Amino acid sequence: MALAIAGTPTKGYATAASSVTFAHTATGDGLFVGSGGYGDPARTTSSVTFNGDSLTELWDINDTYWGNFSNAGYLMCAPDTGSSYNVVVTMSGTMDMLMAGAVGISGLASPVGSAHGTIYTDQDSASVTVVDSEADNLVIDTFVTYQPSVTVGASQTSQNEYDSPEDSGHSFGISTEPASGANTVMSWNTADAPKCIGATALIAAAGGGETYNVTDWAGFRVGDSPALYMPTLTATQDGATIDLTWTMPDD
Amino acid sequence: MATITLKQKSRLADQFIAYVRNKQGKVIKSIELTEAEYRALGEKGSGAPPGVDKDDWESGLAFAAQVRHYGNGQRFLALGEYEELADRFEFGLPEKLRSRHLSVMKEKVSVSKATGLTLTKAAADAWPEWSKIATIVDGVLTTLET
Repeated sequence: MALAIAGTPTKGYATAASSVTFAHTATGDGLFVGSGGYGDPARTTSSVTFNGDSLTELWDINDTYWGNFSNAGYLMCAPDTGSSYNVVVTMSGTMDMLMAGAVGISGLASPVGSAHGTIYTDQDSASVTVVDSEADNLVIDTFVTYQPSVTVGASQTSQNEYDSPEDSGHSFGISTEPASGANTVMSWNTADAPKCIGATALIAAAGGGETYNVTDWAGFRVGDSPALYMPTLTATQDGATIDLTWTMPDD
Repeated sequence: MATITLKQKSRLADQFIAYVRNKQGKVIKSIELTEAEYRALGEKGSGAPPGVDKDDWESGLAFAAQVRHYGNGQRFLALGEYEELADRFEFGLPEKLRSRHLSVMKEKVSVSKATGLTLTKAAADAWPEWSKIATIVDGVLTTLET
């Protein structure tokens, strides 16, 4: 099952804020929430919830290189769907600027522990290499910088972006890129300035596992062999008739 | 250089605000919520905050936040203002800087009732240049620029 973006990404921000809340409608089987901002070095992300349920922390960078950035990524499997619910990002203290965004994912493995690879972060770069990405992964990142705007790397898709809201000079983004193999580079184009990035590869659910209701089968016995061969099955799934056929060896 | 006599400010209890923005991102409405109303937004099945149109909330034009407050809507300390917290002092910085305040741990600050705050040299030397503050001596802040 291929990973894909599900629904419409949403976002929220506030200045002088320790918490920000915004609505999101989840339609997939995964929900990623990223946040970024600028405040005191001691600030960390206390919690991220969706419809009252906690997301799992993937990374929560308490930047020590530039001293004041935060950059976090959180993930949830099987978010509540069918309606708009609230995303709440809560920090341990007040941030000068707090920005966050939510991105729905479909086809995600479950639970969270098996839904992503290694976490890669860098406190002084606009680029990070996700070394252990594999074909069919969807790599996702969050980026925050002290620049009036950012532009996502050429091979990525910007899912969520803030360019200096409230004229704060701080910008933030979440982007994705389908991996074609190892060493997926996630990057943002920005002038030399304080910056911080985090990324990981999201892993697709394993194929198979679908449920069929078998309604007929065709089989034959070869010679005196006791084995029963069933070259075809007729089944239904979600009301539709499906023929399941596999090839028999020529022997 | 410019000199400013330090003025102490006190942080009030946080405010809880729902902001409604137009499609250009400009705030067109701010609605103060109670803490209970804000906390309720994080509970299962909750929707838009009181006073916010459901469509504005669900479309992402509106969102809510818990924000710092110094009174009269002031969110940040101004240059020359400071606040004493349990473990540190926070000094206001000019607008349009990377940070809107500078935190200095209390052990790096000497406090005199007669003359006011003075920062140790070690603390002053450690300040980032972008803060635009040169010194804070005897309750007077001197900036790097005019």
